[in-house]
Amino acid sequence: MSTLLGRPAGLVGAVLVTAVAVIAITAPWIAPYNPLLVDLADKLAMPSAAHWMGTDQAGRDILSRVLWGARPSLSVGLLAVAIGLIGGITIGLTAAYTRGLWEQVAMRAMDALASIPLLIWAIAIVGIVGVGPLPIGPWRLPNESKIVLLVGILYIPSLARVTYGGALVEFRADYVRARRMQGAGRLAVMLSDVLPNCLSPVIVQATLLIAVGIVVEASLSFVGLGVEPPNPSWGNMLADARNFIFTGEWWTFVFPGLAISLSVIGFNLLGDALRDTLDPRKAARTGQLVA
Amino acid sequence: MWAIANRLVGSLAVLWIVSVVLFALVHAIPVSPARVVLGADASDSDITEFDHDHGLDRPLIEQYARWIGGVSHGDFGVSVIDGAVISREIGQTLPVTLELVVLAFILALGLAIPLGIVSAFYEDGWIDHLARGLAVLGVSIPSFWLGLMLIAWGAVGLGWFPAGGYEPISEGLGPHLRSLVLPAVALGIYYVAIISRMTRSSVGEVLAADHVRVSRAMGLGRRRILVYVLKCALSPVVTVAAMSFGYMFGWALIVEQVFNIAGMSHALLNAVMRRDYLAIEDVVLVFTALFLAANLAADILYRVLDPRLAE
Amino acid sequence: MALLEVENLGIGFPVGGRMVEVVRGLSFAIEAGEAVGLVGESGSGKSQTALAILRLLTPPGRITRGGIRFDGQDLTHADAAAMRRLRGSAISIVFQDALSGLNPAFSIGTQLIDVIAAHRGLRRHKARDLAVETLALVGIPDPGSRLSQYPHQFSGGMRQRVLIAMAIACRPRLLIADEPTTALDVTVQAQIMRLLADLRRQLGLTLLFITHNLDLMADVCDRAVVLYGGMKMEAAAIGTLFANPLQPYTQALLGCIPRLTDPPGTLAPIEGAAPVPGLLGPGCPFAPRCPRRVDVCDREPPLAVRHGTHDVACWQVASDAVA
Repeated sequence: MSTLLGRPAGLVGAVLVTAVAVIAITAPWIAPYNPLLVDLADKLAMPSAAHWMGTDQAGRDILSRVLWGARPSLSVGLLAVAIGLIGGITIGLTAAYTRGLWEQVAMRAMDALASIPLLIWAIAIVGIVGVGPLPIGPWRLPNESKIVLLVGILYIPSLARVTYGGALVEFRADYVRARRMQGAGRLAVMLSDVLPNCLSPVIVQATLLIAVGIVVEASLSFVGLGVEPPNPSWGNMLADARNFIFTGEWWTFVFPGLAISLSVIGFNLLGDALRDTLDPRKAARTGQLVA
Repeated sequence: MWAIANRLVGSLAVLWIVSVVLFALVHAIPVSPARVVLGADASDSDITEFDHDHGLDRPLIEQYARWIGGVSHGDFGVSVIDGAVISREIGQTLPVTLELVVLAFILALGLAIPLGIVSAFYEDGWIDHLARGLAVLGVSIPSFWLGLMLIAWGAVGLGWFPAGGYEPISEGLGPHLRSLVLPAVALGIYYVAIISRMTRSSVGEVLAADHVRVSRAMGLGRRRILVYVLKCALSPVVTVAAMSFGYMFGWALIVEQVFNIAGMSHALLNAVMRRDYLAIEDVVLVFTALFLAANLAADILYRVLDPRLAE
Repeated sequence: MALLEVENLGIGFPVGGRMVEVVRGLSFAIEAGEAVGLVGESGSGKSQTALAILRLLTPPGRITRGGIRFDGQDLTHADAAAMRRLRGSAISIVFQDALSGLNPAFSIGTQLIDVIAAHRGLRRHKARDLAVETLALVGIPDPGSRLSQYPHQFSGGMRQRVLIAMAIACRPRLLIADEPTTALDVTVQAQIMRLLADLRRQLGLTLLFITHNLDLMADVCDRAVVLYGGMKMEAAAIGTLFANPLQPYTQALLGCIPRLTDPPGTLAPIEGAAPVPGLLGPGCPFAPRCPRRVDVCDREPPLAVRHGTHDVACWQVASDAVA
């Protein structure tokens, strides 16, 4: 941990990620205004002491909306990766564990799933199912949950492959053979020895995928298929701000974009630093090429 | 050769599964096209008639066979919403998207590969540090925000480029290319970052290899050694580049929206807004096919370039 | 005049702001036609010496002092173009990593012909003829048809033969062989050693053979230079060295070689740890492990004495000689 934070890039990444996480959690308390509060008398106000980042076309406080916007971004990023991790580790580990038929079927399926272009399918799924809340039993999940589900599923192949590759190496390692000869069961060895030891590259990949998820959420919200207005999301704030490029209200499109970029930079720097410390052999691989 | 044929069959199988999933998805949702077109207060008999006219009352398997049979001949069907011939719409919008992607791809390769090579040769030099910094920014700044900033800077601020829209080549080559510069930059930067990193690490790995020391010890000239290193480092870079080409189509949709370019994104988003399910299916199938083709090309190039896999 | 003269050579790497020498004032010479072994443990500076001769030290490592003369030409001050012309033609080298020494993306024919083309203004087909001839010389069967094959289609031993062919294609006057058999199986090792001995006889090669293995060296070399901690400990003809080693380190090294005729339990490992460059004092690098150490050994570099062609650097040997 100290080596991770010892690198300036890793430290900056950790600080940015922590900041985004704190903001997402504490948004209701730290936001100076209600992010939905319309005040047409005070629309498109320049940044000032009252509105640090100015106001948008409906007079809503941009700072408050930026702070609240961390919530959908981070939740899409984290939940999608959580789905990807659960699916990917399970499939990768069991494929390496069983070998034989399941290994063939699982890894072939992963190849097929990896052949699906993430962004186009995200647009298609939301397009086909329709924009709007997703009713699951008694709950009504927000529109983003479709994105979470799809992105999470499409994350599985890359995480499964990383797990599988690491687990295969570990299963062949001498210490695993030694543990087996001491009479430890295969399952016990898998969970207590193989899994922890092949987790490093998985964590690196997962960190980088959080960054991808944030961009995917923002992009879909930008084209109107993500977070539903008027709920704040960095993507739909930018969609609202498009026309103000021509009229010079720069604060409407600069701050939300900075928020996305800084959080994505945070996760990317953290991921790179984790890779350098946890997995130095595989520097700069194709981890980010998932979209 | 065998491996390539194997991959080709695999790609076709994936495409087929994708078509089944798409079809199943569209037919699983409760909203019927007849309701979309005729409105909520249409009578049941109107709906039955509409479904009959458009073949929507046929068994699903037959509908699927008719759709996929047409697609395999390049006939994407006729929209039940407005009677538009979907092949024509795809034929009009696909070249625009393709041109944008190709331009962005050329830009990405043209910047990334020299940058990656120089970074690797002068590891930890100022170019390397600059390139690594740019790479982190490049993968972190979302293309659509970059697009907005580019419009603010290059179109509104400096007035060098149009703020949006697509000038067809019939309007002259200059205006045509000028209308694509900012979108291509916005789309390409992410891949400049990805490909330059890959180039840097691949070339760096080769530079540290024993055979480079042998080449130097045998007195080969600098240029010859560069050729040796680059050919050896090429295959992973080419693979990543070819895959990037496929991924670019996804982000191109978003970038087209920013710059108001009437490419495939308009076809897709219009279809989404009008709930034109057939058009959605068609467009997504086309994109998936392009993506699979790019991945297949990546695989073939990798095998061709690496003599260890060539046989 | 000797073909190669190394005079008071120092090779240093900057570590934490100061220069740490891995080779410290090494001198030796090789006469034309001679085969000299440079023997030492890993870290003794023997491979760095080979790289320094070719001016291929990995920066920031560099020659800190002394001179290297090849055929009267000062290599330490030769410009890059002159060095490039010498490498692979007048001075050549075979490295130890046979498996990774060839570029996997080019056929061996291309790699071999490129070396020839770099040094001789031959037409392509003439260069090809020479390539085929050289491959035959290093014992590769059916060389004409193997030219178009890639390194992965060759076994480790065959790859080392190809690398030797590259090294001798331009008929160098000095061939440096840096542990050329370390990465190979023992049986292959013997074949490569025989090949080097044959080539030496056929081509009249001058050989600098670098190894940690005294027995291998004894097979091909006339003379040996024993290195320890970047310093020359002893240099003598092979027969003299084995029959009458004077330096305590050489004696200890010979004591480490197992013989089938030895009774069990007589193998004598050298006590203590191998020297770490940069942590060495001003004295003899072997002093901390030396059974015959006296006080002066820690303070002053070992005193060099010469008995005819037998060089030794050791305070004890020097005082024995006086007494």
